[in-house]
Amino acid sequence: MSAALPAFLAAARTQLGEFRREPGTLLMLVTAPFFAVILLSVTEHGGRADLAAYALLAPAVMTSVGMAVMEAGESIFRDRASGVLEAIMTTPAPLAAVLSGRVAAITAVSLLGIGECWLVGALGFGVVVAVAHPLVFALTLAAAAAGIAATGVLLAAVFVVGRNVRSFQNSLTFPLYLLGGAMVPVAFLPWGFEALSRLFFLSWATDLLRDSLSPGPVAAFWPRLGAVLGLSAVLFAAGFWLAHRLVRRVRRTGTAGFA
Amino acid sequence: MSLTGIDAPAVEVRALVRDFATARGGPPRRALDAFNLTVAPGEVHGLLGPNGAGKTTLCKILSTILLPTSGTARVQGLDVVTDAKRVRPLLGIVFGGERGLYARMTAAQNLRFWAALYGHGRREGRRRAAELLERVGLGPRANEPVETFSRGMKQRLHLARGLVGDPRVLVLDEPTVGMDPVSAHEFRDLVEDLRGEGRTVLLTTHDMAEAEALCDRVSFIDGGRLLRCEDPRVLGELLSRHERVRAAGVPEALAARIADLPGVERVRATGPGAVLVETDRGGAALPVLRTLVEAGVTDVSTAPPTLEEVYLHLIGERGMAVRP
Ligand SMILES: Nc1ncnc2c1ncn2[C@@H]1O[C@H](COP(=O)(O)OP(=O)(O)OP(=O)(O)O)[C@@H](O)[C@H]1O
Ligand SMILES: [Mg+2]
Repeated sequence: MSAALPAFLAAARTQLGEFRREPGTLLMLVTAPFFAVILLSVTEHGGRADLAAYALLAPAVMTSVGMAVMEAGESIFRDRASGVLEAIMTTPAPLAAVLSGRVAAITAVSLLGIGECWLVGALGFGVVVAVAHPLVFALTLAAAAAGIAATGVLLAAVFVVGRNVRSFQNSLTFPLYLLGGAMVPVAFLPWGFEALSRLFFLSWATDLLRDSLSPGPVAAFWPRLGAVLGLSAVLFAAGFWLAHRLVRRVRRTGTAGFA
Repeated sequence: MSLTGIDAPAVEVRALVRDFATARGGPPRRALDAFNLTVAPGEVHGLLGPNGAGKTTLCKILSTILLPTSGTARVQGLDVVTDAKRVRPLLGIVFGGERGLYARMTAAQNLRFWAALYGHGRREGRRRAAELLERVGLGPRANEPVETFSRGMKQRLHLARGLVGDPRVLVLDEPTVGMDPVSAHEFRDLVEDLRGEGRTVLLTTHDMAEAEALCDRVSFIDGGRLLRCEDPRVLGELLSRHERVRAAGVPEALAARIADLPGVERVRATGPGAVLVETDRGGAALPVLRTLVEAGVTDVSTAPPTLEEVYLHLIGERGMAVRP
């Protein structure tokens, strides 16, 4: 396992370089402010200034989750097609470490979306959403970023299996937005959805983030943060396990080099 | 070092079988069939075989990209299936062609990435990258994107990549594909250096002259089976025994006379007046040349037989068809 940390860091650096070399990979950061404009126009026009925080948080969270899922998938597809995946399999570094490094870099960059959305609010609408509980906000954001990265690792591992999975990539993000309460708090969802969404770290995280933006007290902060962290850890473990399993599987089928 | 690694063979393959599933329900294709091979530590071993023989499949099993269907493969005494984690740091692989590199990153960035995957920190990675780029002659192009490299330059970078983990065993799958003769010559020097450093090299190639020049032993593989394992001098002998003479402007009567010369196996017409004379005895090319020149034919050249022809002689006529 001694190669895991250097591999993680090198993969993160590689991904940051990728953003510079291929700005197209940052597309979602371009669309996020537009989403913010649309949502904020609705809430402001409807006279619901109290929902401004919702309108700004939604595009920011969607950008982060979307980038992690899409870019992690893309990077795996590129690595398969270029034979890099096969070469990685011959090294002592676990594939999951490489995937984590990439996804960590993607998630870190995707957090820029928050700043963008807040700027849209301030500059475009004169709406400045204050962070009422900065510590809650910061800790929750960090925990959520870890969970989003874990989601990316898990899905990238799934994409190791084969090209057929690729078609799911796009459609997968929307259920994640929904179950994660990105746009609408999961408490507003029909009954079955809420129960299911409570298994997904993001629903806890988005609720906490919204709470941290409103002046009222934040109830049961630590248990809820614990839920974000615990469920994220489960996702991470699942991602590592799956990456390991799937590497073994492509060793058996001989399809690691297929595009 | 583990106890097993000290006096175990560098590579030991026993009854190795690898099947691939074929499209929709067909019988599996057997790429390796009860394959055996032993390579001693420090040996440079050549693996020669026609397209589809199973060479790349063997390289991939040794480098833990593929699992065997049955049989065993060991590297420095460690099983590539049950001990893959301990095999990986010991082994470097170089693929032929252009795969396995980040095209848009520079040569140096690529090598630093791969150094990290062998567990090296940033500083050590930089040091190794610089040293290896120098070693393969890419120093001046170190900071240019790989996609701007020629094929031969990419091949050199592959070599550097294979060495970045400082492997005891280096598996080279057609490492000179795309190299010009000068580079190929430098490559031979590099392999000699590797030998001098006590590393074991398993080298697949279609180039018999390369195999003869570099290898301590050569194995011939076909249809996934080991045909013969030989001293490369046997190869040299085969090469000279089956030397060929190509000539243009040869009248039919002269061609017939040449066909009757001792040691001439056959004379093939390759175009109007053009012939290819195949010999099957050392020195038989000389009287052919003399006869041609004395008859006034000057458009004459000699050439060693191709791998395929040597194969035909080694294994009998199977024809040039790729196996089903
Ligand atoms: N991933 C795969 N899926 C299915 N069949 C495969 C796969 N890889 C190799 N094969 C088959 O296994 C056989 C051996 O292939 P291999 O690549 O090992 O040959 P080779 O000796 O390296 O040939 P070449 O000289 O052309 O490189 C071939 O019939 C090939 O079609
Ligand atoms: Mg091959």
